[in-house]
Amino acid sequence: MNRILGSIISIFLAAICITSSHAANPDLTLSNAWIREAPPNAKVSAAYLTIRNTGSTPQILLSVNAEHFSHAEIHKSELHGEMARMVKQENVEIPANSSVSFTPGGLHLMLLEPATAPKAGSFIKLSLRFSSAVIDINAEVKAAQPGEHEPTHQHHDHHDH
Amino acid sequence: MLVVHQRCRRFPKLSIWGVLVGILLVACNKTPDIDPNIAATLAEEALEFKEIAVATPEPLPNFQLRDQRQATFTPASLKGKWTFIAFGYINCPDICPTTLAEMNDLEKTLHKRRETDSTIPKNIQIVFVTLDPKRDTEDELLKYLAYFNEKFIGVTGSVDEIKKFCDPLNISFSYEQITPSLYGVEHSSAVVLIDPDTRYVARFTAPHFADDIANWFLKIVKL
Repeated sequence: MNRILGSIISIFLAAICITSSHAANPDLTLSNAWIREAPPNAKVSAAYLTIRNTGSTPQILLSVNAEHFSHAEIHKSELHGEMARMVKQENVEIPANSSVSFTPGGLHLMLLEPATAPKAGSFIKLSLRFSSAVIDINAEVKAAQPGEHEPTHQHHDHHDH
Repeated sequence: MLVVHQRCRRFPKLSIWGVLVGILLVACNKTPDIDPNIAATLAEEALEFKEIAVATPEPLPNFQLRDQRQATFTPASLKGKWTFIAFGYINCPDICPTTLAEMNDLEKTLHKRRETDSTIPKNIQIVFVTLDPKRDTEDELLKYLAYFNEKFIGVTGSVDEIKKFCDPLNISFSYEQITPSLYGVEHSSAVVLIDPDTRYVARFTAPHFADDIANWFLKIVKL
């Protein structure tokens, strides 16, 4: 009986948690969150996701926290000709009625100094602080799949499907 | 057309392809009954090949580096093999691991295609040269590369030696502070191909896709 009651309470609490994170801003949804499994001695990794803003006002992503990592920053990999560099982003605007995707080779959340290297299959909580709300999402750690990066090469649209 | 002729003279191994490209370009421009879609694809392929192939391949100048298992890495390490070389650094969160994952896929793709195509060479090696030797020691490279593919060769040396190796390959790099406690390396994202005569013959620019690189590689080795 106690166990059943416990389960009911857990479900009820879980429902509250889900509702509360969305109630903070019903216009913002996070999806497809994943973290690149990094080699065991790498002190950095990257998280990717899609942020959708269904509202009529722009939303600004200000900062990020990631469980198990000492800190996280918003970065963008940029190619200038052949030169690749990372550029720290102070914030990212999600325009009204649109979405912004963080993908390998483009925008990403740079995760620094993991307590231990997270293994594929585990989940890590990301907390994204927007101007209007803080939204959490559990991101799965996985090994990057070939071809899963920015398909911006002009001659290779067959990679888009 | 001028470029094609020039390449025929300076890069004899590519002359057959050069002539073919020339014919295709003429066909695309002048023959009215060729399917315009096919013509466009061929013309695009010819132009892309022009960007990938090095016009004047020359043997690499001497260099003295080390691999992740403390063995010397010199021109002798390249002799007799087709070598793909990627450049980067371990603390690179996005672009370098993406390139190395594609290089792993390239190795597996070529291995798989070899089952049905015996003309695909077996003497292929994949090298990752660190541009951050201060942090990326042999031991660190050993651990890092084993994650992607144990066959990968990790190469390091002094910054000067690495620069000397990179210059003829048109690979440039510089250091930049990303956060107060962390620096990053801004670097050329290209993967270069060295032929068994230690000549730099092709350059693949990012973003890299294993299938595409495999296709171009097979065209180059059959020349």
